[in-house]
Amino acid sequence: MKPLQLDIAAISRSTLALFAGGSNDHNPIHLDVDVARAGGHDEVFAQGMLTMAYLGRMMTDSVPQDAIQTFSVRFVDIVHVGDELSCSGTSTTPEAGDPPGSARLRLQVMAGGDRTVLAGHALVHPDN
Amino acid sequence: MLDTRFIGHEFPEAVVEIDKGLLRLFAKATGQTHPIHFDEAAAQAAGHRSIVAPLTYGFSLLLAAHDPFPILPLMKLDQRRCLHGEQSFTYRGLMFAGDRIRLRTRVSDVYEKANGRLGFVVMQTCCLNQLDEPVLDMSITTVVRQG
Repeated sequence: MKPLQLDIAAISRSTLALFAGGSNDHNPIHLDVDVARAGGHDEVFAQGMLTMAYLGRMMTDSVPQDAIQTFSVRFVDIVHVGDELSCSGTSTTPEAGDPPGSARLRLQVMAGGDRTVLAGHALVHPDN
Repeated sequence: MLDTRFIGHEFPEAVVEIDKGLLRLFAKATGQTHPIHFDEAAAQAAGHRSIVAPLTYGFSLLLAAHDPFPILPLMKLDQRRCLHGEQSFTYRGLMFAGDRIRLRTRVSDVYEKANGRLGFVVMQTCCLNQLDEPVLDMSITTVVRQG
């Protein structure tokens, strides 16, 4: 598979609010700076699932959704308001048990160009 | 210290209907460009029965099924000390607006690292649609900052 790439403009508080509504994630730590500070953070920060959703969008912009078999990520670091994100997916070595004809993608999201915020992988099987 | 006796705890089965308007808002918030995620006519023209739920939408169904997040009251955790650590989806089929999804969720693991400074709670959820077709398995790891 050819490499996948999606760049996201600086994350705004408006996006966090829209995503809170659309995703049912009403955790106020992403919306209310008073709650964020009480939790030891300087500012509200992005829902992890917002960043994962961008990675999902990157894949389904190029691959039919029903071709994607698995999608797993580790949330490595916090995405702050104002961070620009760079999502990427590159073909990597298959793992034992991957069906023939499938492709394994290594997924990564960088914030501000040099900080990994999310790392993961997906199994894509175009014949399904 | 997290109580490992919660391993195996099963939450009550929950049913959530996928709301078309919320899918449109999700698509707007995440900048979806593919119209199958917000335009019903485009989704049907592509052979789907309605708007297609995006890849990560299963987590939103869990949040709708269990509010507050189910391990918070169960294990008496402070939400402000919890972070989403890992998320994994295994797809069995697509989900669409109007589907009634049945979620079965259990605690599959509880453990600690870094001399107990970090706690980990893993939940597994199986999702079936109104036709009793399995559509999604997911695994959610919550990290709890302790001490």
